[in-house]
Amino acid sequence: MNDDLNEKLSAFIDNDLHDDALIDELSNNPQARATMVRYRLIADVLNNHYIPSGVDVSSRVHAALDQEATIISPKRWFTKSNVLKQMSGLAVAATVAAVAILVVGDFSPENAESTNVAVGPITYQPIQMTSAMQRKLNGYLVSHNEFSASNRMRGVLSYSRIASSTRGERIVVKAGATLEK
Amino acid sequence: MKSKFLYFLIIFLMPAVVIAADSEIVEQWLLKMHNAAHTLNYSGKFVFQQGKQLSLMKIIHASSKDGEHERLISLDGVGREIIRFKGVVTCILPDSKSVVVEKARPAHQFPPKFPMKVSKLKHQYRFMIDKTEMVAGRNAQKIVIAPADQYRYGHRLWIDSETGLLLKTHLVDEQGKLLEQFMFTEIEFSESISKTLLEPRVVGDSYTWYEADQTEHTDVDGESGWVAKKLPAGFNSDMSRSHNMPNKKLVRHLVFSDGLASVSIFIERTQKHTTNLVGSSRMGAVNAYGRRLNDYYVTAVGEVPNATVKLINESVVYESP
Repeated sequence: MNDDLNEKLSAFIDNDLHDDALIDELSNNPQARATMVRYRLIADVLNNHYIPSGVDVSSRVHAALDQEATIISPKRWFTKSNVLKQMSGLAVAATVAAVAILVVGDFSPENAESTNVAVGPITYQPIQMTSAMQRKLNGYLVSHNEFSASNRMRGVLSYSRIASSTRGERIVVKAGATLEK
Repeated sequence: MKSKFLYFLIIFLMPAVVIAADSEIVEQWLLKMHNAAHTLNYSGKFVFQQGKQLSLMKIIHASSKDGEHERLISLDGVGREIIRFKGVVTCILPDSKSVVVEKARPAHQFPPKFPMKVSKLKHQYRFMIDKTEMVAGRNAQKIVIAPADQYRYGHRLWIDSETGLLLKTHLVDEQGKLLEQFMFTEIEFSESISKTLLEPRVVGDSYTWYEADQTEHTDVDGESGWVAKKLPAGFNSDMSRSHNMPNKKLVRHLVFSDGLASVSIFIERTQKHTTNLVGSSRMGAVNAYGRRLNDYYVTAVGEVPNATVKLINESVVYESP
């Protein structure tokens, strides 16, 4: 699936995009449907807080992943209203807007007390981020992973944070933060 | 803030089955987990959840007289790969058509030294042995590590009873919210791993390579002159070195740790035509805080709350050694 469609799909699931062309794409693109179905199944299991103790959740997730290959959804299932209904409680895919990072919170580094955790109303404002800067942050993450005490106990698993990132990353920046040249 | 934190502690410590554990028993489990992560041969698939984002990944880990050879492959989206072998970490990033090669931590001993002493962390964390649960069809011992203040995160670990491998983990923020979840859905242990499984994908000529300079300098205490004047209780200086990043810029790297949580400080000279983040940012459980200090940019990075990276960063000063 191409990145552009991935981004649209992600925004759609995050309820940030209402695009009739995307609805058509979902109707006609089995891969896009499969991606959403897979995430929904995994999320349903992972986020189920009522699983009786003793049940192996990971096996259920594994079964959900296997099930993806066998799901055949009729086209009419993906009417706009039905898709929105299906997706409304899920919100499992992150927004993957390319070269954009989001500003959240009402926070000014200059005015905040150094020991306070900033909490405030969430506002969003995209900031352009260069690929050079992303590489730099990745470099910092790798260097940190190599010397972090808890990551040393986990081995390469700590690199999931880099391997799982998609275009544009999922970096959020508190309002008040700036990109300085 | 305090009331929220108390509420978090109550929720976090609520399960009646959890009992305060002897620190030695917990340490034995963590040591077993640490050694298993480095010495076992295994392959498996796992789900990694960061906030609302879910990723499916494959991991292959081999251990031999040549050391560790690890390959992590994202099975979703663009198919990023991370390979860790022979002192380098190679990140293959098809989405940006780039390969980034970074230097790994020098391996002075194998397996690496266990980084903590549980009994010394009793004022920073509460360690508990919980019940056993099934993960990926295997019996796992659950261990709960609850923080005693707002400067570190909590951990829930599910450790394979037989081998000691970490099968599942929750990282929980200072208000009790789940930040990250990792869980194996299938795992297979074997005597040896075929080298072909560890080979990276073939990348074309269209990829750009960014390689870090492999030389580095490790400082003796205080040699660099860069120090942090304020650290949360239990944090100490762990390491100080300087090395070149793949962008050829020299960076000084300081690490502070309480034995479990770690914060890295990166210090670079300001240069024209480069962009730096000033203020707070976050990627999943990793918080960062950047600020300018005269002719330098100082960035703190760590799997700790925002308050911790900010506190340590803002206390960094240069004192002539």
